[in-house]
This record gives sequence, C-alpha cells and structure tokens, in this order.
Amino acid sequence: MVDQNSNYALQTSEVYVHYGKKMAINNVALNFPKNEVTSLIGPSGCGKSTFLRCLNRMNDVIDICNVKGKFLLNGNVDIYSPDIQVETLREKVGMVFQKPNPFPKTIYENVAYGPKIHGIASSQNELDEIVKDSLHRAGLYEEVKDRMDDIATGLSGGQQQRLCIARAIAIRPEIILMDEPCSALDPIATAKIEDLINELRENYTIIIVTHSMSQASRVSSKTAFFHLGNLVEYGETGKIFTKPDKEQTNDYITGRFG
Amino acid sequence: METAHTDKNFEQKLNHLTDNLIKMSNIVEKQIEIAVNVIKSKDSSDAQTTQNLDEQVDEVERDVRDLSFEIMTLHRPVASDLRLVFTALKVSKELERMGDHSRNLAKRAISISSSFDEDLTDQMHNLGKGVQKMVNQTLESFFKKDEVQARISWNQDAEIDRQYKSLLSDLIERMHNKETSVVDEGTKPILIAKSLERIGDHATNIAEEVIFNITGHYIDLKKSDFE
Repeated sequence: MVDQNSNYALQTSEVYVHYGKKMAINNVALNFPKNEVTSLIGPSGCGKSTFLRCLNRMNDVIDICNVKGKFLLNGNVDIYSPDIQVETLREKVGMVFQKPNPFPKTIYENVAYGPKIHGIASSQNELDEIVKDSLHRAGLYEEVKDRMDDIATGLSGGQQQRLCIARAIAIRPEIILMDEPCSALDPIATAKIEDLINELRENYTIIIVTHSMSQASRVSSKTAFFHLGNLVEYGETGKIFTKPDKEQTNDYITGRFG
Repeated sequence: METAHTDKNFEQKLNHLTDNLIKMSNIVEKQIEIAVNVIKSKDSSDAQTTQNLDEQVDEVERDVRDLSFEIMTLHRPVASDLRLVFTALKVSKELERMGDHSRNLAKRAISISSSFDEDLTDQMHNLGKGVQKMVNQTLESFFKKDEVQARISWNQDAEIDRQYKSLLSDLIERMHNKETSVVDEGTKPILIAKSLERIGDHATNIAEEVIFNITGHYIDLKKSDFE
C-alpha cells in the first residue's frame, strides 16, 4: 500500500513485471527512505536489476516488458502516469550503469551535456559552475581540472565511472540508481566510488544493485533481498547481515544458496 | 539441517572450527570429571593428569583463535557463520578457564589431609558432580543447537550457587567451632568450592552464548524466564 508519507523518496507497491509470459517481479512492495542508501541483493536472475530499471522507466524501451504497479515519487508523483515525460522523470531519477559509459566526447562535454539539454544552465558561466561542482561532488575534479578538453574515454575505468556519476549529478537528480557500479573496477577504484556513495547520501537517495555482499554491507543502511522475482526480506543492513529473519536470506548471504 | 556451503573450503574451515570445540569440550569435561574424583580419591597422579590435559586445552584454544582469525580475514563470514565464529571464540575462552579451575582444584584437593571431615568432602564432591552435569548439558546444547536445553542448563546455576553457599556456611561454622580437621586445612576447601562454583558460572556464560548463536540475541536471562 502506497501512502502519502513524503519521508520516502520513492514508494512502490503491487509491482509485477513480465517479459512476455515470463514473470520477473512478483508483487513487490518496497519504499526508499530519503537520503539513505538502499542495496538490492540477490542471485542472478532474481529480478533486482529489472526492479531497479522500473524506477526510472528504463524498461519502457523493451517491447516485451510489461510493468504494473504503483510507483510514487515524493509521495505524490505517479512516475508511470501518461502525463509524465520520461525525460523529466530521469532528471529526477538518474542512473549509473555497470560499465562506465562516457560519451566519446571531452570530459567537460560529458558533464555539460545533461544540463544543456534539460535547460538547467542559463549562461555559459553557470554551465561551467555546474560542471565544476558536479566533478567536485564526484571526487574527480582535482584529477581532471587541467585536462577538461581531453576525450573522456582516455580516463581510467574508475575515473570514467566517477565521471558518469558526475554526469548523473549534473542534472540535479533526487535519486541516483546504480546498477553494479563497481563490478568493472579494481579495489582502489571501488573504494573511491564507495566513499563517494557515502558522501552523496547527504544530498541524494541512492538505490544500488550489487552482487557484492561486502559492498552492500559497507555502503547501505537498508538492504532488500530478492529471489525468483520475490522480495524475500527488507530491513536494516546491520540486521540483515547479522541476524536475518528469513532462513533463505541467511542461506544466500552466507553463500549456502544452490 | 543447514544447507551446505557453496564455498567448500569455507565449509571445511567452519566444520574444523566446530570439531576443535568438540575436542576442547571433551578434554575439559574429562578434566572436570577427574578433578571432581580427586576430591575423594586424593590421587596425585590424577591431579597431574588434569595439569597435562590443561596444556592440551591451551593448545586447542590457540587453534580455535587462529582458525577464527583466518576465517574472518579470508572469508568475511556474515549472519549465522559470523555468529558461529564469534561464539567459538567466546566459548573456547570459557572452556579454557574451566580447565584452569579444574587443574587448580585437583591440586588443592590432593593437599588436603585424608582425615578431613567426611561430610564436608561429600558435600564438595556432590557440588562437583552437579557442576559436571551442568557443564555436560550446556555443551550438549551448544553442539545440538538446542535453545531449550541451554535455558535449562542456565537455570541449574541457581542450584549450584545454593549448594556452594550452604557448603561455605558449613565450613565457616566449623571453623568458628574450632574443629581441628577443618581449621588445619585453612582456605583450601573454600577455594575448591569456589573453583567449582566458578566452573558453573562459566557454563552459564556458555549457555548464554549458545542462545546468541541460535537466535542472534543476547537474552536478558532472569530467573522469571523459567518460572
């Protein structure tokens, strides 16, 4: 049941997702508290990424994907309403993908692109400030300030991912979705992204899909465990990783799944 | 029945950890049994055996500690696995202390004169038998993951304490009455009784760890829980 409580950045209920006849999400209800990090965990094929992609309508482009349910942004905006433009929604709900995917453009243009097309900056100076501020928040500015006109694909994997986070931040979203953002990164780059997630939570609500149990336990305050399209358990991360209520959750996080 | 781990190496180490605790429990139970018998037999070679067994206990405790450290470092256990490692470390410490008390009480028992009061000797021996039973049931509850049994064992400590206090007041009264056989032994019988009472306390601590291992919660155990 979705209520009007605006302590949640996003509330979902009665969510069903089908790929053709195959059910991917089965009656899931999950709310995301503002300015907190929520991890979605579960084995491959459990539906966690499918669920994440529902939250900014990424599944719209998949013809056979049928999404049903209630999705409320800030307690009152139905994100699947015909009145909602997908582009407008994605201004509010940004996304960072598994593999860093910078545009084949300069570092500057990568970050400036979103604010430009969404008309966020009213002058070149303002745009410059947004780019600088976003790179700062993503912890990348000091590393790239002298080469803003270099092609972004020349950056290291970790830097590229932080650039993608800067790009997501630049359009001033309220929520950032992250789909295994560190799976292609080494431990140092992963640590930097996790540090960044800890800092970003002050201003954004973050929902992260991860296969790494230790990452979920390090970065999130809430954890949701999915299995076969069902939400098995949701709760405080500390509790999930010490004394989960469900045996299925215990089996998964301890590596006894099979 | 717990599902098998997908990481066989991790599974083996967890099993090895439990095996070490079983081994340690068996040695400590043996130590307690021998020490309690020494109260009556005053057999110095048995007392020496408790000393020898103590060295084995210390060795297994080190193994438990090292293996727990390795598991935590290499496998980052969570949930029930984490609780097992945590419990293993604490239970092994309690067992090690039980072993020390057994060794000490056996050493003191052989130094007490054979002419020492028979009734008091029987009381000490009975206290020891009660403690022995409590330890056995507590350890069984750990390995069988039996919360109900752990609670029953925990409750037995009240009876151990009652027997200990009764023995103590008897000893003190006879000292007041200047009964030579009691006065001559000084504090030795008191220290033996105290060692037995402390073993009971360590068993109580283990029972609490058993409940934590099973439930994930440290329960505020009160007598009223069992009434």
